[in-house]
Parts: sequence; C-alpha cells; structure tokens
Amino acid sequence: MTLLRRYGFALLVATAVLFPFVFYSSDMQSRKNLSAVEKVVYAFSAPVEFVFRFGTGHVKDALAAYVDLRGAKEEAKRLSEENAKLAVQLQVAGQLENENQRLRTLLDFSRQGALRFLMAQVQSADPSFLYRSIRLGRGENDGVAPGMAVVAAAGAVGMVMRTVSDASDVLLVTDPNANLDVIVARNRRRGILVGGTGNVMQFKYFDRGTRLLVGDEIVTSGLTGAFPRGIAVGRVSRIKVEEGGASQTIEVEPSVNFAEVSEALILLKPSREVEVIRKVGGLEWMKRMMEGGADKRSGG
Amino acid sequence: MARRWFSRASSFPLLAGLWGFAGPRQIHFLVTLALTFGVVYLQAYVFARSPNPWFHVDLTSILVVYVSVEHFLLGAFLRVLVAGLLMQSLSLAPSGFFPMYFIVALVSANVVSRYVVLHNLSSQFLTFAGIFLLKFVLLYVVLFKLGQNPDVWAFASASLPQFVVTTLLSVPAFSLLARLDSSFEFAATRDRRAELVENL
Repeated sequence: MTLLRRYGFALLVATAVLFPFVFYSSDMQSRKNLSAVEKVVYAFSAPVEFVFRFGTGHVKDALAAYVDLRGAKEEAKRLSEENAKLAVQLQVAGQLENENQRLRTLLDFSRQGALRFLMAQVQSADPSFLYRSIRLGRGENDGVAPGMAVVAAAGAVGMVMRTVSDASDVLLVTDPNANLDVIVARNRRRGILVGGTGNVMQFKYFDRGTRLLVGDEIVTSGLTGAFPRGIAVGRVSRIKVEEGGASQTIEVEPSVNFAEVSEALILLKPSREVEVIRKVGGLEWMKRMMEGGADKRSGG
Repeated sequence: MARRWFSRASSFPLLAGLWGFAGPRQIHFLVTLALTFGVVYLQAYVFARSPNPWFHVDLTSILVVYVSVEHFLLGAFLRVLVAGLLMQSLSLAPSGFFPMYFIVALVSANVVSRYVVLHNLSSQFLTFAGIFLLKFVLLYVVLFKLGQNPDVWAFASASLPQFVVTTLLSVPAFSLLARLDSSFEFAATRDRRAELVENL
C-alpha cells in the first residue's frame, strides 16, 4: 500500500502517456459486437439502467399525458378526417398494387420477398455526442443482427451497427459514417447519400447528368444494403453550385425527425431469393432478363 | 435541509448496520458511484436525444474532473474507470476511447490542481476549458485515424456549442458536487487527506 501511495501517481501518469499510443495504433474500426470487457460492464450495469429507464419513463409519460390532453379533442377530429382520406387512398393504392403485380407477372419478374418487421423502443442516444446513433430495446435474443435496416413511419432511420442480448445500436442516416444508396423519386436517377454536420445529408455521388430540384423526394434504391426500395429518406433542401459550376453541394433534409422517434421497425432479413438477386445480379442483370423475356414473347 | 439529511443518514449507525458492512467511507464511495451511473444515463437518455447542440452538456466529463481533483487517487481512478467503461458500452466510439480520455483527464486535472488553486472561479473555469478542449483534440485525431479527414473549422464549429455550454455549466456543477460531498461525514477532500495522512 505504501508503494502504491508512493508510486501510484507516477504509474498513473505513465498509463496516461502510454494508453493513447496503444489506442491510436490499434485498429479503430467500429466492431460489430461489444468487446468482452464492454459486455461485462453492460451485464452489470443493465439492472441500474433498467431502474433509470423505468423511473424516467414514468416521469416522461406523466408529462406527456398532461401535454397530450391539451388540444386532444381537436387532434382527434383532425385525425379522424385524415383517416378517412387515407382509407380512400389505400383503396386506390390497392388497385395500383394489383395492377403492378399483373404487369410484373407479364414481364416475368420474380415477386419481391415479403418483409418481416420487429418493433423496438428507442431507449437512448450516443452519449459521446460525436456519433449519431440510438439504442433500441431489441437485440440478439430477438433475432437482430448487425447490418439490418431500421425504419420509422416517416422513413429510413439507419442501420444496426452492433447488438447485445437485448439491445442494439443503430447508426442514423445523418451520421457522417453512414452511406445510403438512393434514387430520386422523380427521375429514378441514382446516387449515394452520406451524413454530414447538423441534421442534413449530402449527395456524395450521383449519376452524371442528374438534375435535381429543391423539394425532390429521395428514396432508397434497394440495390445495395439492407433497405428495400422505395423507403423515404428525405427531400432536397438546398442546392449550392460552386463557383464556375464545376461542382455542386446538394443537401437533403431527412424525412424522419430523430428527436421525436420513440419506436422504430427493424427489418429482419428478407427472403434469400431476393437477397441473392439483389446482391449478385443487380440492376443490369434484371434489365437483361427483362429484355430477354420481352424478346421471347415477341418471337424475336 | 438536504445537507442535514445527508449528514444524518451517513453517520447514523443503524443505517450503516443495515447496510451490513458499509461505514461512512463506503457509503460515500457507493453514493458517488451511483451518481456516476446517474450522470452517464442522464447524458445518454436525455441530453444526447436532443437535436439542439446547446443541450449537449458533457456532465460526465465535469464529474470526472471533479472526482479527479477532490478525491484520493485510487478512489478517483476507480470511479473514472467505471465512468469510462459505462460510456464505452453506450457509445459507438472506438473501443477504449473513453477510458483513455478519462485517465488522461484524471492525470491532467491532478497535475493542474497541484499548481493552481482550484477554489478560485477563474482557475476552475480555465482548467475545465483546457480539459474539454483536450477531449475534442483526442476526438479529432480519432476521426483523422478513421480516414474521415474532417475539416478543422467544420469540426470546431460543430463542437463549439457543446464546448461552450459544458464549460459554462462546469463551475456551478463543481460547486454543487462540492456541497454534496460536504454532506457526508467522510469526504476525501484535500484538507481531509492531509489530516488523515498526518494522523497515520
């Protein structure tokens, strides 16, 4: 103990000097799972975290109940009207779905595999304030694995980066480390979106000759990654052309308000057939299949 | 009133007896450990969920600096390590970043407190500002090492609100933590440390 008292500070200084050297020389890529030490810490801290979450959840619910009661009657009326409109739109969409399926059958397209979802509560966010990520209350025990896509009612949320037994960390689409393969809904032109500073994303790459307008809706392409096609990502909010017109910066505002998201859907693995076609064949292969099918039917 | 409650609670023999083995020293350690947990979860569950960067108060760093300055080295090291490991398990930051940063902060705060009187407001303010600046430097190097090559000015302007609000709140938070500590019969403040060493 005397030795510790005498040399303890010197030892700590040595640790403080050496630790950064070891840390910065290691491989710093985010791992798919927690390390052994982190798992032990998580296991020990989980009961404390549960108590904290239970307590703050009740406080939040009590506050929300008071706030929600105000204007509840007007809100109910507004929702009832919106529901009626949506019911009509759903019927129209149902007709379009049937027509789409008939056309796909005619063109000999394979059926897109049915998607399976898992609902999860948003628990917390990254306390480092550096990474834009959230923690969901579903993990390995529920079949969640790294790489799975996460969506909300409004659109794409992010991708599962790592999992533990009963929770998973999701990197949001607005994080600078996130890349998303997207298309412009208006003209089907393809591009890659990356997260940036603030709550916006930017186009990193897009097809040559693409013309974008402020307000254009951006959706997932479904060609790479875990997101199926057609999931809303955001809208073009600003187009800044650099001097000389050689390059431009296109900002996209996400369709999801991440501060208000309290629940999200985790997309479990799609059917293997769809996954193989998407990953192995891609768009060009599907085009060739379509052209080959059309030739067969015309007798050419 | 709170102070009286704390000092009564921590010195009441029956309470210590009910805990089985905990004396005032152990109770103080457990309470500060519980405070560490509470601060980390408050940061993750409340502050980090806010989209407004002016709400991104790094309470954990403030607590780490306070603990580093006002407690015995071994106890401070244990608390700081727990805080670092907790933050690491909740964050996507590269494995080892938070323990590293907190240990560097512990040493830096200790070194500074040996030469600077930290019960003076301006010196507290400058010490906290220096240690938080260190955090952003370490973070910038992490981003650089990950191949992101962030623009220095963009990184600085994005981090500025967090830096300003944390530094501004550090001084009142330091006073609040000192008051909380003084409520305990056993509080390993610098004066007490000197007393204990003399009596050995």
